[in-house]
Amino acid sequence: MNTASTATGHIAAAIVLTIPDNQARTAYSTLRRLGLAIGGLRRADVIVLEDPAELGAFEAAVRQNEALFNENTHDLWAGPLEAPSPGELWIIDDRPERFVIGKLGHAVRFAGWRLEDAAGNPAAGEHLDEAARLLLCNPAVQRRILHVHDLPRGEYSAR
Amino acid sequence: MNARVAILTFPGSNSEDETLRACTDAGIAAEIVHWTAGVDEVRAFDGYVLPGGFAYEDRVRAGAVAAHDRLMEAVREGAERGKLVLGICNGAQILLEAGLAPGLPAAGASPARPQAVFTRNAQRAFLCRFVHVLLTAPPERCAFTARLPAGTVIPMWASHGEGRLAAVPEVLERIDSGEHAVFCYADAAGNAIAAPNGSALDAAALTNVKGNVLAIMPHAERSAWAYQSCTPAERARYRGDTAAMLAPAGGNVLFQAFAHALAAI
Repeated sequence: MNTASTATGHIAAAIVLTIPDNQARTAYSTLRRLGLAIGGLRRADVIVLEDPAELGAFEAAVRQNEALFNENTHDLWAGPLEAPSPGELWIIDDRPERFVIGKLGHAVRFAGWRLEDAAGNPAAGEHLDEAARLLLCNPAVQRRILHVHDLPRGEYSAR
Repeated sequence: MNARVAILTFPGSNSEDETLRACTDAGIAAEIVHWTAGVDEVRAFDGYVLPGGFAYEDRVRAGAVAAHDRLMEAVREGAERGKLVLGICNGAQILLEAGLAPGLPAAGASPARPQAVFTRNAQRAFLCRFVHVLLTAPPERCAFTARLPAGTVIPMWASHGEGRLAAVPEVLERIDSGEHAVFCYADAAGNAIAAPNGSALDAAALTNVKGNVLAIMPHAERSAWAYQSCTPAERARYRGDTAAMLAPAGGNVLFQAFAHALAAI
């Protein structure tokens, strides 16, 4: 995740499985079979808080949310969020579910994919475009986030 | 020649046995085909059914990985050649992810790209409910409905968490104007109702341009015999009468129509 700037004020948590991630593995093998020359693929659930809060309190709230985080099977990174780092592809549903994080306010979740080339370096931009086009983003209901400002804040309702 | 239909299963598919029985009862020579089958073996069939379930655990999105399974090459080729393809529930999701329905012509776009999707229900909850679907398109619009009377109402079980049709507005307009939404949700009397899952156009099913592909969310194979009805009055009428309980009912008409369509090709 890109932590270079806090200009937007958004903070986020990226939750990654520490046990084998079947979804990432399946996406990887499917993309490879479709001809995309990538060497690795990881997936994170990225939780973005919509309201201002202190980072430590946010991280603690996410860690305490058993629906999101299990310390036996997950790693968690928390920090300011700006834009995808090289090799990252952020995909969000057009109508993402809003949910409450502790007493800190509402958050939304999106999928953060990290693609690597054969040498383990971040995948090239054209490979990200192709991965989104082939499998990871259905344009009928999903879109790619290029900056945290692209998050569909307020465009959907919590049900 | 008796047309042969493959009921294709992927890891996580279910309902294939009920689907096979519904096909067989309607006189269709169907067989369950495992995902380990060869593509050429699948190509040899005259029609395809993609049953319900959770193919590949619905990883990435419902139907997204199965849509790229190698066996789908045979389904795609068959659909392009006019073979009949029926997708039920998860099978319908797969057909939309594969771009086989609504299959709108798109200049310069890959035919494999999805144009619409059956996605998460508006209420964000699993829907398990006895519903009715109304044939809203002209019967001849789709091969599967060509022998059904206009305005046919079929009771079925809706059983899905992701059955809401969604697409960008321009695609929805083309789906509507092209009469792709052949079945919409209705009440038992055939009056159109709001889709219980928030589906766009209140659609329960989509066909493709040629009308030889049908992607339907509710399960016709789970209402194909009288005992599967949820109406208490019907249950009382059939209780203790095995022959009456096993009489064709409800969704059976869709499989009968499928059989007629197969015989016509």
